[in-house]
Amino acid sequence: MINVVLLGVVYILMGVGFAFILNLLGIFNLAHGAIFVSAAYGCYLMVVKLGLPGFVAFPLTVLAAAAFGVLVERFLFRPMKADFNRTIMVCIALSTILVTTFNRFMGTRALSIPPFIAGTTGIGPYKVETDRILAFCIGIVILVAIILFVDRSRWGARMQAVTQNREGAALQGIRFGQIAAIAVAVGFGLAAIGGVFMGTLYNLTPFVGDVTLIKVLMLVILAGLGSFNGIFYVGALLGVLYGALPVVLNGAVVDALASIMVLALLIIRPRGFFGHE
Amino acid sequence: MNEVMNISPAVEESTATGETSRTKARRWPGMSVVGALFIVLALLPLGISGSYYMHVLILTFVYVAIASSWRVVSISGQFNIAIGAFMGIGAYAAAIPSVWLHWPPWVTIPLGAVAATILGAALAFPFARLRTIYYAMGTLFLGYVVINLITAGGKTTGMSTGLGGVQPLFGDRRYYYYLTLGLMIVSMFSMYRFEFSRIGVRMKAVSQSHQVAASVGIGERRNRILAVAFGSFFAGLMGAVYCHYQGVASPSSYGLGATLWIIMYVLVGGINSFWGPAVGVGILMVIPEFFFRDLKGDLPYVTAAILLIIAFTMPEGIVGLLKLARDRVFARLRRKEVDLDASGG
Amino acid sequence: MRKTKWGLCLILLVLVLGLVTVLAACGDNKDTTTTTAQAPTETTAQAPTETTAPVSSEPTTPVPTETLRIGAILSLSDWYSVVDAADKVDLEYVAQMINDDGGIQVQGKNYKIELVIEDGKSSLDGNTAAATKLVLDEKLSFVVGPGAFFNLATTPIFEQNKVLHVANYNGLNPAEMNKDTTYAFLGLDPITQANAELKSLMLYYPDVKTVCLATEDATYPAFEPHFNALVERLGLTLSGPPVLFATNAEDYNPVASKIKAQNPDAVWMPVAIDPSYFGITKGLRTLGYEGPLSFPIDAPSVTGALGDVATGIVGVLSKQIIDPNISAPMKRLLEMGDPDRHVFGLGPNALYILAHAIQAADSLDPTEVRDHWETMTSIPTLYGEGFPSGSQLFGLASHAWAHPIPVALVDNGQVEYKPWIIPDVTP
Repeated sequence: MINVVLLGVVYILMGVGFAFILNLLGIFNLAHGAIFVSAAYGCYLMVVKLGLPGFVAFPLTVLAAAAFGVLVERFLFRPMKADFNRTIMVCIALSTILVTTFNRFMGTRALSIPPFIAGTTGIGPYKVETDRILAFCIGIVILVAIILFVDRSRWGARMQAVTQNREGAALQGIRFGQIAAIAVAVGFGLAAIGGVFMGTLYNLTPFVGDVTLIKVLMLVILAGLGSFNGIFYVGALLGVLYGALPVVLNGAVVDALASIMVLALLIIRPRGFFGHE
Repeated sequence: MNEVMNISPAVEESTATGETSRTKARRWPGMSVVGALFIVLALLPLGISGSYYMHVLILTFVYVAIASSWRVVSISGQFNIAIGAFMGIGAYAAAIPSVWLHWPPWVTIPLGAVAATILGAALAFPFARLRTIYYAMGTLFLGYVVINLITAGGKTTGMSTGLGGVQPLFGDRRYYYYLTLGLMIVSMFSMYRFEFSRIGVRMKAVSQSHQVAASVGIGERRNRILAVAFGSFFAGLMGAVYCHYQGVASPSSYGLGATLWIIMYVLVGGINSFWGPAVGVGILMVIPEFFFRDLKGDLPYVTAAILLIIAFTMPEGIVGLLKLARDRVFARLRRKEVDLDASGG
Repeated sequence: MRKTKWGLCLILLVLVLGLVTVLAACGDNKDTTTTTAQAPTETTAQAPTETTAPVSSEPTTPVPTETLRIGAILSLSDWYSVVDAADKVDLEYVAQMINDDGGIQVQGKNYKIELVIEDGKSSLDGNTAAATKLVLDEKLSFVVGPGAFFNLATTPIFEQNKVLHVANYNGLNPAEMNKDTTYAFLGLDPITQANAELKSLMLYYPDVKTVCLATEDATYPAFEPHFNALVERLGLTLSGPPVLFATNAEDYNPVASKIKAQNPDAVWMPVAIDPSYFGITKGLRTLGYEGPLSFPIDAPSVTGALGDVATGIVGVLSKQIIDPNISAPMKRLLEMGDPDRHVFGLGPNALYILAHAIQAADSLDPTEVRDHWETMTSIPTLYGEGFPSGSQLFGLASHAWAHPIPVALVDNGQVEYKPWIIPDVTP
């Protein structure tokens, strides 16, 4: 059961990050999966090669990803002037470079980041790895923090203003460049958190990002563009779907059935469940 | 500006004959270049027969037609991220009867094209009310569903490993070369006619503003479905030919990755010009295959570098850049003539 | 301002084009240098005609050395490169090993192996392109690889051009190898691997009567009848319907709970990739399942990824230098590089047996090599003495080969190496 919920949390983290970038910059960040994988590899390198403890490596990875996000925004996204076609090209190039690099230099073994806390905790008859519970708690805390950040803080208000009306926000003295940099940094940081979770709990290959990217797209489409809250509900739904369906069905049929369900929902409600114009 | 232009005798002539003949006159040299290129391509097998280059060129012809068909759909304002899936529908509609029922290729290839057209039109229906990014996301998802269905298809589709043993059309590679070259020319010609016909103009109108288009009696839904059906016909046809040539059909050739690369061909070449897709395939496919194949695992870096260079320096793609360059050269020539006239007179 | 921008663009374009030509030239240069380094002798394409020319070389006089170019298809980019990038290293070591021993001896001449490696790009299309390139441009007569199900794409091309090709491993799809593909050879009959997994499981856990079959879904349709026949031959029963999963899944816990629900004596996972094996093992142990698991492993990877969770594992095909039972050629291969690396040993083994087959046939003509190879009843492999297997299964006698298979038991994160097992011949 906790697996289902945890997978949902990872999807939500990724989805929120993706939605941040999409809503504020209008960029379809196809490199999101690559960032996710890079963060996982980065954390792996820090823990295994540099011998840092997990509690240091984890925040360090997230900060590094956020800093990388700022750089990407400044040098890759901003010169594209929000041209949809050009940003897609840049994202694909970025993703290709990252994935190829990790594949060339790290790819020959399926890796797994060592757990932060070893062992299992028993809840009644069920045993669960302590790590998973920890990851789940951290995930929830971060999600709550994000909600508070968007809803309560001044930056959050500015972001919402930009999402709703970019010109209007500019007239109010909100600097778009700053907001964009923060959005990409937060987006990449969240992807990094998701990546580290995936890396500790499951296994790591350079191409795992593609699969996750599809799930994230599914989540964002279903939730509806411009909606943050929707992502939480739909993320939980997807987590349940992907946690429960493989128990009843075999292999590839799971993906097929889940995707058909999502497509049907999409045709019925093109704006997603919680989307608005 | 008009005054200036009138001083130059060459321009004077063309403005005198009016707008249409000017564009025609401008188009002729372009057309002759294309014609010459086709003739060169038709004679090429004499030189490169039985080499790997031929294989690359065959694939190039297939992808030029497919990338162009994607662009035809895009002129009606639809950013369709399911083109690979339509190619896949064509391929599997041809491969399944070929492998399991032993139907001859001359039946299965048209079958693939027709299947892709019908499914394309049928699937376009529910999507016709989605616009812009919603349409892009919806079709992205549609492509994902199609690939998932193929992967879950059990023994019939070969699942994610793909389906082997598709009967070949010919034993000799040269015939494939001429077949794909011929099909490419025919499809490019039909797409050219389509785009610059009244239907094409309607589609562009729909893409610019569906409300205005509707106000002058251009139905949005009908035109958009027509564009998708027309585009997926060529995608399906080439997909079917492609899988008979390769002898295999596998979902990885038609998934999201493959689709994105087809779109990259168009964007690199230039989405706003008819020859953009052809140029894009030439840049992104032929250059890496011809010159960089030895890099093997590092090859993706080359394509990524090409993408970055194009994205940074050529917002309208390569053909867009050429067009701009041509306009600037013309403008400068005119200015020079003006200067000469001014100093002489 | 705008003028300078355009100037910049132009310079960039020129630079890129210049780079393209320079790099292309470099690529060509590299090719020519490797061939010129091997003296101005002719290479393989004309080799058969060459050998008909009178060669008067006594065994005592220094034997002339020539080059034999052997192709190899490996997927060096995209997902399958996880396996093939490692295989490439070992393939080159095996070629070096054979060359150090004097190369392949054919008709009194010594042929050094020069590998021509092409990238199969982890897709059927990429493999078609690679095979086409090897056949048309390089004009090779012998090719090693590809692995996995990619033979679907390459077998027709090689058969049509009469190129002898030795696959590393295949998915038992009839399009990969059947009675008409007479130039197709196979380094490891996959059923013998599965047989070794079950045999060692029964040897070290004699109480096991029922096994749960958990395997990757895409290749299962082709394997199904052979797996069922195998289980029957060994006197085991399946605990329920096979548990199938997709190898791109992120979370294997649902699969694990499904396996546990069948409550088998043991779990058998014949075909999958490392993430699936590890994910399922982790899942089963977390759920409290205590029966043994049998699957192909690389011992350090298993202990590295799973730690103490790695318990009750019967692993086959782990090639480690500390294994006391290791075969001599495999030991030599491991010593050539970092001995702790993950050796998949599929492509390298295919090259090893191909070299021996060419030498045994004493010819460089692929058809003659094939005809002689079909009469052989044993061949040296990297794993020891190889024997033909699966003549009925593939419809070809002496085309698919099998060899002794390493066995290791993993308990509480500790690895114990056991004597290698000789699998039963597949009918």
